Amino acid sequence: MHNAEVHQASVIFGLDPTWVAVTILLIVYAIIMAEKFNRAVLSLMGAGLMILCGVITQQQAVAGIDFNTIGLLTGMMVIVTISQKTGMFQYVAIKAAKAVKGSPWGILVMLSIVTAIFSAFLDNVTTVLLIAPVTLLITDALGVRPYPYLFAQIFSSNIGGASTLIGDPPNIMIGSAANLSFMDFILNLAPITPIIFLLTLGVIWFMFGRDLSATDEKKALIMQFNENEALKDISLLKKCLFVLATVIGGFSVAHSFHLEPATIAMFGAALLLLLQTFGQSVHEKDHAYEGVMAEVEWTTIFFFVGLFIIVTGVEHTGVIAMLGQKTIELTNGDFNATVGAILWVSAIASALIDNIPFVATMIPLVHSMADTFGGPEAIIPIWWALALGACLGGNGSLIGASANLIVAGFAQRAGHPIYFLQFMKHAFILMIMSIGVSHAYLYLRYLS
Amino acid sequence: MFAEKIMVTKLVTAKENEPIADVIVRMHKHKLRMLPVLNEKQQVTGVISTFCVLSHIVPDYLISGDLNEISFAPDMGILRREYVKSSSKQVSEVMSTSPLFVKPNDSIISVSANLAGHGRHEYALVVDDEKHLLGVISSGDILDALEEHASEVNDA
Repeated sequence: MHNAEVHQASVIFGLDPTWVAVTILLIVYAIIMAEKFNRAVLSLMGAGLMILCGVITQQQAVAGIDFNTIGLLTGMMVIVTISQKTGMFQYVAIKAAKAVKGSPWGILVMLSIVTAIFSAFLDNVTTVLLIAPVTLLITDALGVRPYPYLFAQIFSSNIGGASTLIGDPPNIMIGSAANLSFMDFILNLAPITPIIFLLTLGVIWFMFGRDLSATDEKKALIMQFNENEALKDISLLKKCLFVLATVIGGFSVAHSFHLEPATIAMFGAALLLLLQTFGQSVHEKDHAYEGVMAEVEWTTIFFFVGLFIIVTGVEHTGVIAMLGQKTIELTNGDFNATVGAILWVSAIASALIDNIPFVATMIPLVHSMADTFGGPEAIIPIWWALALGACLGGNGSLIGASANLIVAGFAQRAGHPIYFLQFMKHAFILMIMSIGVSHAYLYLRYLS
Repeated sequence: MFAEKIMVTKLVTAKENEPIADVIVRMHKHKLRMLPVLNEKQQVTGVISTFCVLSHIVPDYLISGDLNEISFAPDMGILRREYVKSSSKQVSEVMSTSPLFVKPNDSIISVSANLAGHGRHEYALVVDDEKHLLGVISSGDILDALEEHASEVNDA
């Protein structure tokens, strides 16, 4: 059906639309990987070219943008931007460190748990942006090297992010495309991620944890941290916690009321913006709104917009459906093998390239498999394989996820740089282990 | 009125390869907060100030992220440790390499606008075309000139 439309559209110089679309996609992805240009600019360029070259019309392009993903991302960004000013991240991190009486391994475990939980419900990058400096301050006070702590933090943020619909952008895209709810993610992914988290901590204990030690004097210094000082604005904190609880509650029941998560997130964002400035003058309110809007990561949002259009262009040519059929042929139409293949290919790919464009491209491919395997309901395990592969694969290398690069940046600035190969030596094995466990889980729960 | 008329020409400077500790002693002795840094050819390559040294010893991870307040942390001896480490570093490692340069024939209103507009400069370095240091103008020097030479300033 799409093919017919495309052949009616006028592709420049009468070129084959398939080749034009695939060439645009490959060139854009290659330049994104080279990291020499801003990825948002590149994806918008690619999107513009798709339309200018006549692969799709502007109308088709706009229809291809998943506004549920865009709305959910933007709404959560607004909520997080306001919440991070309350100091609640720092408060919880210090409270956790003090709860284990300054024990070096205890602190590593506690900070990992805190990172995983925050990452599950909020954006991973914001979480590490706020927890990593506190971690460096604590390791400085303890007199231990920060590497094991930051290493564990990277894994915690990606594993935590894999657990929920809102934890990581790939999950947001998958949930939206496959019409899977917040509770679907909790019921299907949250049972396995804590197991992967504990196994990962176990391996980290063998790799680094058993060598960590600190004098009683240094531990006493940790107990001198005053977490209450971190909370700057108690009234704003209450408003943020209220809105966060409302939004998460809303996500869990949204499906029953036929509401999309984007509606909940956007409503929550508007509510928090309103509450944040309650009682202030009009001028102060405007100033506060503009401040929050300026901090929303518009580059990420426009990156998604461009990607959705590029993928729509390629999808219209039918080439993604063809690749989907090839994948099924390769696995001889065996469902178990297809789930496994998607899981492992997603993990390896996400370790090496940005998982967002990868998942954006995989979504129509997985959709195209529905007919072969008996409808949208039947391929749900493939979506879980894609989510686990893309999120956990991000742990495989330092460039696997944005949060990894943020942590590495802090390590560099603290004078303890994390080197690409040194990280990969430990991380790739751990990532493979987590995918192995995920494979076993998928097999036992959905296949066999 | 031109920059060269009000600039201070009795100059205390620092060399690129001097240790920071010596420069801090010199700044203290002359009650100065900033010294222009000269290379072997006597050209200005930057400025070293008490602010530069302080920024250098505060760990970067505390000021570069979103963690803008750390009132929850006790004093842990980090600053003293970093201060000791920095004292033996060379001036060129710590100095700011983007000072405000002005020409001797720049007008006072132009120098003042530059100082006020940039925010992070308290001093303007008056240099010739080869970046040789001719004098220094602080915001205080301009205020003094406005007070003392009221008539000339009006003419300028």
